[in-house]
Amino acid sequence: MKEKLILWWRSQNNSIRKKIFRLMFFGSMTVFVFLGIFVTYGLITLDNALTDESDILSDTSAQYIENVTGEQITGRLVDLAQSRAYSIETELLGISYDTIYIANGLEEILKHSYHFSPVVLPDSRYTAIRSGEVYVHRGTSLFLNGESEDVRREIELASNVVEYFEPMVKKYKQYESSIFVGSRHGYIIAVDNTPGNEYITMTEEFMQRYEPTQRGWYKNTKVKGTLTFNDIYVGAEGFPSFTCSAPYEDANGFAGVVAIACSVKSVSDIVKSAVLGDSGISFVMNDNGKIMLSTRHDGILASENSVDLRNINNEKLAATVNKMINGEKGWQTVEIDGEEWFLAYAPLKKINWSFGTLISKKEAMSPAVQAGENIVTQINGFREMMQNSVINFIVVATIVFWSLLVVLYQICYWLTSKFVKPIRKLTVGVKEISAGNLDKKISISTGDELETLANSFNNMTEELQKYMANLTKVTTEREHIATELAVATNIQTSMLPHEFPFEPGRKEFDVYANMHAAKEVGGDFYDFYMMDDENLLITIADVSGKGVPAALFMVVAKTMLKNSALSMDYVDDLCHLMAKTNDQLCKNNDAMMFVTAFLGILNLPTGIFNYVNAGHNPPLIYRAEEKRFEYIPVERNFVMGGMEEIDYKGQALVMAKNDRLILYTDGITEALNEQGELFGEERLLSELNSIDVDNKDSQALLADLKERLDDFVGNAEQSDDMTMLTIIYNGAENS
Amino acid sequence: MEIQKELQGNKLNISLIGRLDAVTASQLDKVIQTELTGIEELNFDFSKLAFVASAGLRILLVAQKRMNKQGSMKIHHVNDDVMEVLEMTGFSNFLDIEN
Repeated sequence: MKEKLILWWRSQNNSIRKKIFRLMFFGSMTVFVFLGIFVTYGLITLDNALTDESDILSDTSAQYIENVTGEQITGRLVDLAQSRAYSIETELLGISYDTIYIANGLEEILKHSYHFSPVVLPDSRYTAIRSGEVYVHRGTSLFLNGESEDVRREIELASNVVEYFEPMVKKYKQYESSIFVGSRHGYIIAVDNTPGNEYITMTEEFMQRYEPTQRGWYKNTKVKGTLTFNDIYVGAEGFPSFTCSAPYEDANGFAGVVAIACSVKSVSDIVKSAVLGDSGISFVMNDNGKIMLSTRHDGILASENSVDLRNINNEKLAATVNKMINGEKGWQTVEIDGEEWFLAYAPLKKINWSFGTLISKKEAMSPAVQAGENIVTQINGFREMMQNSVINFIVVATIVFWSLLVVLYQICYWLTSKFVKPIRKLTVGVKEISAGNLDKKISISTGDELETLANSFNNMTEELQKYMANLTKVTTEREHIATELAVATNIQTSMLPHEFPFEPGRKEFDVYANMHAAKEVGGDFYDFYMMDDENLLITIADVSGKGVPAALFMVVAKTMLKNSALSMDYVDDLCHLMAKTNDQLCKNNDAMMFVTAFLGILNLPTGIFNYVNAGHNPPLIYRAEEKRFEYIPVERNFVMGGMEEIDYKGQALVMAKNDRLILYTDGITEALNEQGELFGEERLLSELNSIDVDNKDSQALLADLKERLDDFVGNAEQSDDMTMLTIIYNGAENS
Repeated sequence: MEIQKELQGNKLNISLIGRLDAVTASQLDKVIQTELTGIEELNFDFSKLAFVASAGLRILLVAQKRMNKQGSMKIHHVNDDVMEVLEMTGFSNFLDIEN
């Protein structure tokens, strides 16, 4: 499967255009995809972070706003409670000062009676009393039992208090108010202000059962013995009033109580003005935990409810009430009727009462809650907008991505085609060139390596054309020379005796020779011919060097030697022949060619062999009697053609029947094998000695030797001409 | 074959290393043809010459003849193999060989 895939991939990969296209396309696409992934990832992360943060943000900001608003509201509430408490206190203190003022005045009158004349005031039982008119009223028991003279005198004396009443009457004129003195003797001196009514309405109760010494304010004050703020009560006039009372004394001690009962409307206005919002409640509580005044008319905070709030089943509220009674200032959240309230309070210090004002937490906090909700809504809106943006971005990015992909495909295709076009052109051109059209010129001008390559191809074809022209010329010349050399080889070969057996009619000898030139033509040569009927001349020679120059010199040397030999006066004057030929060769031999030569003349009847060696390799003789070869002794005469006027020393030996001579050139002894070793003279001798010589004719002997030489040389190249000549002496013909 | 040349004024020392055969003889021929101008003393060192062929002998002959006209030529340190060739060909008779 994997191999199939690889094969498929390779088959798909078969053009540079496709490869480059893929590289560009996938490369760009990879960049796009990675960018897209990064951006999308970033956006999603941002969105998540935003979602988390917005939750926290909305929670914390809503909480913060609530806290701040709560603090502000409670702060304001406490300030309000404080200021209203001061106002109420001031209002109440004014009344208390007035009360004390009247009490002091009355004591002055009673203690210094001789300064005052008796005053008779209108009696409420007999006269209709106007608002603001000071009158005297005897309590039920005093009225029914009758009064003593002392009491009558005291009433008339005490009535002087009217002077002290006058400014107060004016002061409290616009309020529902009463200023009165209650004597221990059971009468009161009083004045009532009833704004809107000219006459005071005396109730049945007041007229028939009223006993000042039995009233709460009287008893409280008498017990306390000092300035007293009484609970709010419904006064004789029928409206709730607040009474401040103080005792007064005569010469006998406690004589009665002075009181100013004032409609609490002024204070309740103040209390009402402290109400915050729609649900707000304000109240005044006395030192017994009882509500004195309240804007609420039902529930535990109503003034009609006369329970002690310290004992109610509301721990938090009870605790706060205790703090209020202790004269503390502050605020507290309390729960009343299942609703939460902020309760702020401040003490009315002089009278040990406390002022409290409440606002529903729900109402107070509603702007804060609304603001918090607003924030949450806005943040949610923002988050939603953000999410929509992200989705929009992803959608747009996807569309853009696919559009870009199409554009990218087109661009890559176009670029690749543009890039590959010159390569195709080059390929087509090179194919045409390789098909043999060397005149083809590839024209590419891209200015890059391709242009260089195309130019190189053009140069190459030019060079190829030149080279081919040259090659054709050279080949022609070579062929010409080869032809000539073949002819020359032919000529050279034909110059050497090559018809065997030589002189088949002669039984005295058997001669055979051959030459293997290293080149087409060689510098070696051999020769043999009958000088006369009895003498056979044999020659072997080697011209220095090889090839045509050596062949030419060889022709000259061979011709000269034969000419000189055939014109010799005495057949045994070999030395002279050599010297003469040497001198001839030296003439006009500017190339300094020379030739080593061995010449010998075999006298067939006797077997005497005269020979001269001119620098040639020593030949070998096979003595049939000893059945072995040996080198024949040779004089070290100088080579021929090297130097003029040389004396050559001749030598002689006698060949017995079946003796053989082997002549050779240095191509044999200096033949090299593949290891670069010389064949050498010793090896030549030992090889020859290992041949079964007696049963071989001259040709077979040389063939055997050549075979052994070839074995030694192996595949090594022949470096020099190889020439061998052998002669077998069969003895004299007639013997 | 390697040819080492050392020129000291009009004296030229040539060391031959390797085989002086038909192929390499042309190298030495070139030296003899071109570098003997003004040379009065030509010395060959054959201590590292392993072999000499007939073509090589020709160059020695050319050199000897040239030096006969303008000075002298000597061959030093000829080993046995080379000496045998020089003797066989009779070259030892007129070359100035100093071992």
